[in-house]
Amino acid sequence: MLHDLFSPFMLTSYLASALVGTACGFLSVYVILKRLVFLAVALAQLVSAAVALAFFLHLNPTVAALGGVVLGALLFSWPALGSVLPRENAIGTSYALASAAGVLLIAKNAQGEEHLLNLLYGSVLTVPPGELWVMGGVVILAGAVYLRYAKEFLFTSFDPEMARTLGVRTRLWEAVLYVSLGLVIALAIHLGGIMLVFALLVMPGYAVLLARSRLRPAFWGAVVLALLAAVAGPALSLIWDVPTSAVSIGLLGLFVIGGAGIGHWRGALERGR
Amino acid sequence: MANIPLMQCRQTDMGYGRKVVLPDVSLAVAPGEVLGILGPNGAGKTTLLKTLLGLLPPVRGAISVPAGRARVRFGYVPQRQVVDETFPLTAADVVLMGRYGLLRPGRRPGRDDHAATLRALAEVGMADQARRLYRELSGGQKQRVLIARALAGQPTVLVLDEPTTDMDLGSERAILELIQRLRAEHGLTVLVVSHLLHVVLTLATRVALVDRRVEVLPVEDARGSEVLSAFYGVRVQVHAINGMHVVV
Ligand SMILES: Nc1ncnc2c1ncn2[C@@H]1O[C@H](COP(=O)(O)OP(=O)(O)OP(=O)(O)O)[C@@H](O)[C@H]1O
Ligand SMILES: [Mg+2]
Repeated sequence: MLHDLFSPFMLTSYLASALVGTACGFLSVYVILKRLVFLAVALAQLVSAAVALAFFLHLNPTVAALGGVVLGALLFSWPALGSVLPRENAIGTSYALASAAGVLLIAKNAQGEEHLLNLLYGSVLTVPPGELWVMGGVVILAGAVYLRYAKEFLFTSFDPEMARTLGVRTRLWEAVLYVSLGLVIALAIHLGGIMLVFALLVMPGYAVLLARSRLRPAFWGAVVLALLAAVAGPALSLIWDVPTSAVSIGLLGLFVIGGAGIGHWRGALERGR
Repeated sequence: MANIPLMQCRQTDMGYGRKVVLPDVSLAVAPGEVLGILGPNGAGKTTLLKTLLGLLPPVRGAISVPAGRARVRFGYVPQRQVVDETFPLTAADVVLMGRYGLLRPGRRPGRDDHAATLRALAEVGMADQARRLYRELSGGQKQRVLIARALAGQPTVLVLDEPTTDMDLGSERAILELIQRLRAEHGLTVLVVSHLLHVVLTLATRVALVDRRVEVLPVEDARGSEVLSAFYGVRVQVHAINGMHVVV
């Protein structure tokens, strides 16, 4: 058993999980603070629809996924979208349509249905190594950009108007945030499946912020929780013979409950003082 | 030197997209003045402010800076309600952002910046609250933090949008005195929007009456009851008590 846990096959899936976990965990803090939860699901669903379409038309699914995400990010950040009713409505509508299109395309796709389902809802256990390199590159590049320009990202998301009066190029930083979110979603879904990626984009940030963490530690904390949950998934799934994503998401659920408990306790402590 | 305007516009149309809200605005902001901006809801006060700040491009014309860009550094105090309170930032974290404009992209704040942050907090009487979460402060304390953030960037022009809304009498008074003191000590130019006539009449050296057009007059003229009565279309009386101006 121990031997199986460290087989080359499993090591690949740990690595894939670690990459997906790091990227999604970091972004999850922004997702919570900027209320992008809805946007993240809709983008993820758009990616799946695009992949399903690519299978239907015999196109390259990775290219389709990236195309879907760029289209979605452009659509959702289009200013006129929120001018009459809140943007959320358009995002929700796109989510529903993309889900329906995905289901329809899968149903009509006679061959490769299983392969496609695996790709969309599948697991880190079926990762082609080439994609690891791409994902690794994206994570390192995005990580470097986020660390170096941390103050620009913070200022832009906290108070864009003031930032602009001080000469910060908020449009640029906002675009980088959306595009990196989209890129990570597109690539991570390929590796981890839509359900896991969505959970990783929301729950780690939610857990640490519920625990009343300050901002800087929140990013590190969310990355650590996401890494733990993502890497434990394949290991525990091998031991218990259960689906990987379900294990990871169950763990994340425990983290959220734990975070809420810690936050409650710290709040009581502060009020007591 | 003193009469070179910091910023000015001539016959500039201000508004959103192609929609003109304030046509034909001619205005020059002199260094060291306090320009109070008055007007009813929807009159275009915020539009004027945002255009001067460069947040909103003019529909026609341009804002020029005869004094040179280097002499115009904004310290913008937005409406408190505009600031996102979900972020778990301390008062000091928020004030530190005021320094970001002085740092190149990719540069981290250093010791100077942290020192300036603490000085700005002390200046508004919030030094002992530096490590508390911004969102857990009271309304008046938040306003002070936002003013400190504007000051931390060593501004030459302080721009305040309704700085005393929702404040109790004591806090309102304290903020007013703070703005007056800062102006005297740092020689700041101040642009302040307020619905509170007595705030503007007490603070300002000139008043901009905004209502789909902009009319600028010395504060003494604005204190005349007829001017304000005509502007608002209701009877207004202004009395001076202890250096404050009370409006009935
Ligand atoms: N983003 C926008 N797009 C189009 N029109 C706008 C926009 N914001 C404001 N307006 C219009 O411009 C006019 C002036 O608005 P502005 O916000 O400048 O008023 P104000 O004087 O600040 O009012 P208040 O006292 O209520 O804050 C209003 O008629 C308003 O409808
Ligand atoms: Mg306004």
